[in-house]
Amino acid sequence: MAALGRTVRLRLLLRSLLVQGSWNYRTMQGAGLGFALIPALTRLYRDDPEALGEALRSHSGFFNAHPYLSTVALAALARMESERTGAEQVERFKRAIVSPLGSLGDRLVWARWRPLCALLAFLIFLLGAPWWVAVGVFLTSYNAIHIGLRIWGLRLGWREGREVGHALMGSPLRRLPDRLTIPLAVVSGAVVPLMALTLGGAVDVGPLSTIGIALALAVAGYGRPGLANRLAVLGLVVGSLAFVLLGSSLW
Amino acid sequence: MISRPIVAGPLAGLLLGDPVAGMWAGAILEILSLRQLPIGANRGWDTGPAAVAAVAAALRWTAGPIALLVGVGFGVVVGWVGSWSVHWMRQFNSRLVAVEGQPLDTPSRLTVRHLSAVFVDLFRATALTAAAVACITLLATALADAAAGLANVVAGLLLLAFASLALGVDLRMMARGRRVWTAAGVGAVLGVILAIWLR
Amino acid sequence: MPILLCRVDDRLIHGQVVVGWGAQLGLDFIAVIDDELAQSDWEQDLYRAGLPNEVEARFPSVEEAVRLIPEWAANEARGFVLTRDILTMRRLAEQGVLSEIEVNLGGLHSAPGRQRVLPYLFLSDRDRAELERLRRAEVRVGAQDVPSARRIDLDELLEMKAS
Repeated sequence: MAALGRTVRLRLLLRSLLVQGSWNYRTMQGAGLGFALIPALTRLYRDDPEALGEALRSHSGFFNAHPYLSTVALAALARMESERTGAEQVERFKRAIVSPLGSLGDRLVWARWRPLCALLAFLIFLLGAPWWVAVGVFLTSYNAIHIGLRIWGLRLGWREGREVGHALMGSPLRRLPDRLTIPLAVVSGAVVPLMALTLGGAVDVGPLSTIGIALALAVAGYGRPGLANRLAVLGLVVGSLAFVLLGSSLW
Repeated sequence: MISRPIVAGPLAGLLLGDPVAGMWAGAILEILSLRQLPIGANRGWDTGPAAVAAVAAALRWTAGPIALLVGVGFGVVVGWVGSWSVHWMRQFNSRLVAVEGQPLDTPSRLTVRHLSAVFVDLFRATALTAAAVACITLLATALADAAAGLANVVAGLLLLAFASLALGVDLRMMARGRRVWTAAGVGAVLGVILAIWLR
Repeated sequence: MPILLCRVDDRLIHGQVVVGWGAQLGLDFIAVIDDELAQSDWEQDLYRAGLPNEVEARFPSVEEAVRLIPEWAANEARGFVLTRDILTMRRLAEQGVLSEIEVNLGGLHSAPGRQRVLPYLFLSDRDRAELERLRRAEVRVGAQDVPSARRIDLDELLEMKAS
């Protein structure tokens, strides 16, 4: 176990940044996982090229996790390999770990943190901050969690090995998405009237009625998401086409 | 994360001369694509090239809501085309790193194949962005400017309508329940107060 | 209709299920029906770890599930039923517990002998035979990975060209 020092773990962390690099429908992040594990595997199987080949082959099979939490699996697998855990156990571990790493990360990052950071940045911009401040707020807040998750995952996976499921169950990560729901909803609500103020600002009907229309439409979008989604996307494309083609002749 | 419209938009705007217009195009495109969660084999629009294209298009037309509407509309199309290019790339990647019985059993073989895929993706995104910008440059010379005035008002309202609809959809796709409703309502009231104060 | 989704997905509990379907439909429990998993605590821990606190995970064996599914169907709690393969779902269907419930094909991934029919669905000849048996058991079957995607009916699916 002492065979894998800090440097190797640091290299796992850096390589995890490319774990999605060869995403494909067959093995998804499989080759990415194998690629990221190379520093650990070459160290562990230094004297046994045949076992190294076998390990590389098996670790570039099917794998898919949230990319930021892939470090949990990387470190736990490195730990299991360094303890010479049997191949069948490793396969079963890989099959199961995909599940929490995918859903924890999807819930926290894609469904909460990223939208929250993006809408917060837009809100700040709407309130009058310069554009580069808004971009800076997005990049720093978003990446604080992004990089934090990768490092946290690496440590947890390395410490717990196969039993990492138990540690994940008790981790604050499971509750965090819930805690972010209310802030996300508040920010979403606040963006609508402020956006209306600027976009409808040129309109003679008065800003308050524009704000009212915008809020009503947001409620409609919430109520009928399927229809509203198609309407918004199609409407934008058709609307902009109409302006490009007919613009000057219509008005 | 540079490929998120909220970042790619203003940065493209900075390069092309108007970061504030870039921010607007990026933010609206962001709202439209927030709900596309990249989970499993599911894929959303290719937002980076879409945002650059949207800003490039917006800056070709007269400034104001018309330009934004046309830009974001063009960005949506590019993002959609981009999502297909991602689909083809993923199929190509299968051949690169996931053929049955393929010898990925030395560090160098695995590294070369994996990194080739990374470069293919870089090339794909760059080519798509370049093609989209070239396309809009050609179109812009062929098509006249839309007139300002009333047209701009209509464009602004349309843009606002679609973005508001989309924001409602975003929230619903991520969370639901009375708590969410109430919180969004509180946010909206806050927003209205701020809007009145900002006027 | 307290069993909201009855899904075949070899990744079992994961993002598409929890975020994609769960957030849209609202759910109280997920039941994973798998004989091997019913025996393994550390694996159950891993699957549980991916769920929000308010969602309960249950891991019955097929035999237990045959008894439990009708109970769940009559209950207030809203739940998903997941199996790893079509075979398990077919075993449930042939016990008659899936009538009135639609089976959703949500994800079967690449494996030796399987060919790609949809980006998220790879089928082997055996899988196809199992699907035929599901149909004969008079169960409605459709393929759809996430709520925003188009639902593809079994008839259309079986006619699609594999690659």
